[in-house]
Amino acid sequence: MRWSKREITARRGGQLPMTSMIDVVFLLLVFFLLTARFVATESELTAALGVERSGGGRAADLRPQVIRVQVGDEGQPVFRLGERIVHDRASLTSLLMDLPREAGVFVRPDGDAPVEATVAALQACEDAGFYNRSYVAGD
Amino acid sequence: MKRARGRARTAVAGFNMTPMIDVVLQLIIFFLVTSQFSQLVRTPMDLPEQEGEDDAGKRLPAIVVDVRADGVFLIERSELTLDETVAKVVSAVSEARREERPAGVLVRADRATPSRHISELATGMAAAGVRNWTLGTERPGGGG
Repeated sequence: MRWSKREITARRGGQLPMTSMIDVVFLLLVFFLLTARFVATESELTAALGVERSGGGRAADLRPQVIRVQVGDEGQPVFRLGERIVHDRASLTSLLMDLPREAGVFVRPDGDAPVEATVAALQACEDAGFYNRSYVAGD
Repeated sequence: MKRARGRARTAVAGFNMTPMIDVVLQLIIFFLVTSQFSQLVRTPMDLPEQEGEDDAGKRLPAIVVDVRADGVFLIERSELTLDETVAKVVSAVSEARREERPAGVLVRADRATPSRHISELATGMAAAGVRNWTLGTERPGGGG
């Protein structure tokens, strides 16, 4: 009985046919090429709804800070903290860093202020260490 | 000059499959790692670009409410009125509390949405006793 060269090789060392595996691998690759979707990573900011308090007999440094988010004269959002007005998140964060955090902060946006500005105000509070913050429904 | 007798040796051009299989397997592993099936159920939104909180990725909200720039509320891509949205939120939160699951509400609003729509939703939820809610953001420069 004469063996073919292929049979001799198989009997000697064992051969693994690769064709089927390559087929499956290509099918898997096509599947993931079609189903993969590159999306941006999302995050969240806590915005527990609070009620704006007005404690007349309390010391000024125990009253929560109130950040008003408004639309300025030029149509750009502005942040009002007391008498001070700033135009960007970094400036708002710098202002908040100098304030006491114990009483917390309220973020109160005007009705026509874009959500992007409101979220920027909340992020400024997060960056400045104001973990006790609340979203207050504005006008 | 005598030619060598015997069988002429012809060079057979073989195709070495090994490197190709290596590359294909690496591509498969890459797509396995980077594909995110859970994102398919969320409505594509242009969220405000902010870093958010550090542990935000670990939370699983009880319900996700999307708010388009025109003020339309969406839950699982279905358009709802404000009252319907609040009712669904209350129902989802109640069910989550009953099953002792996280009962947070995630509000994903388009960055151009006027804040009055968020205020309306927040006021409605607060009136129904739901105060644990977060605003969705998109991490700048990230993608996966």
